Amino acid sequence: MWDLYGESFNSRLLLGTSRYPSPQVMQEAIKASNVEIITVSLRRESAGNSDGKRFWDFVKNLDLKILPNTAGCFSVGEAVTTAHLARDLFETDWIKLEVLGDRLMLHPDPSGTVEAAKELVGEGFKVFPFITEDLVVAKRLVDLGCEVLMPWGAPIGTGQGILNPFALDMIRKTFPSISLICDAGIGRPSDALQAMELGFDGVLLNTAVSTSDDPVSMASAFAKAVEAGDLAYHAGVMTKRSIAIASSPFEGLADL
Amino acid sequence: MQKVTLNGKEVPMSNQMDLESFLFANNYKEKYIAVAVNKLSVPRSLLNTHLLKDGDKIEVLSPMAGG
Repeated sequence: MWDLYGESFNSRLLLGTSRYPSPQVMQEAIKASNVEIITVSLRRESAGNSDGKRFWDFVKNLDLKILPNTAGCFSVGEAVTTAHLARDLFETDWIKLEVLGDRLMLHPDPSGTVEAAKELVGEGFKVFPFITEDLVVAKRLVDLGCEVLMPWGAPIGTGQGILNPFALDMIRKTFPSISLICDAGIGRPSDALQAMELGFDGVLLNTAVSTSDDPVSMASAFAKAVEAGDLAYHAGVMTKRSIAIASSPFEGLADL
Repeated sequence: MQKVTLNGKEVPMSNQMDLESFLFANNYKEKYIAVAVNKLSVPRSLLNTHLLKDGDKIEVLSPMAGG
């Protein structure tokens, strides 16, 4: 079990809801991985269109915790207004805060993220800020009252894995009581396992599952990897050494 | 005739329309929409009391898949 803003969950894998071959495949992938938290977005609705309602009806029937995001926002104002709209529509004060600063690499805007988080925390939102591995940005957000941080493994949708494990390790060691969710850039189950072995509390991913040849199997593989990494971290991963140490004792060797 | 912008398109509007009536008249009849006017959220509970004015920019959003 782990806690996020006072709510307890069993699964440490969070899934996005985008780019699945069909809603049914998404539902099966969620079921196969025992995911309890999924992310959703807000986008323009065309007049006379019911796509949004159909999607929402489908998601509501899954009976999962909803984490709305501010994906695609490039300014503090956009992100804050999107958070207000999400709270009103989804009836939750949880918000995955994305304030981006670069359209090519979808790189988070550090100052914009901190500024938006300050406003939203002040309004009672439970903020899940998407950040890079920047320790000082993490510190500013924790100082504001964020109980969860979402550092990236790599840029969104790249599948590059954990590009800077040293920096993520520093964030873990600096904030032992903050919930850390590795968000974005995860391509393989071994990437998720690595994040968890570093002591992260959870992993959020989307593309690696939804665009795989078999999203249901891949979701299951990621769930197992996240669980294995969590078990390994708490069991205590051995320290690397620069010289060999025999596993079998030299004492008692026969003279052959 | 007054005009407002609805999801990026200019739309004529009768005088003194509230947001809920305007949206209904423009074929937004679903309950699950979120609305912003001039970049600020209008809570769904206030749609029927929020009066529109000439030049307002309205954004109508709905739940969508996202990562």
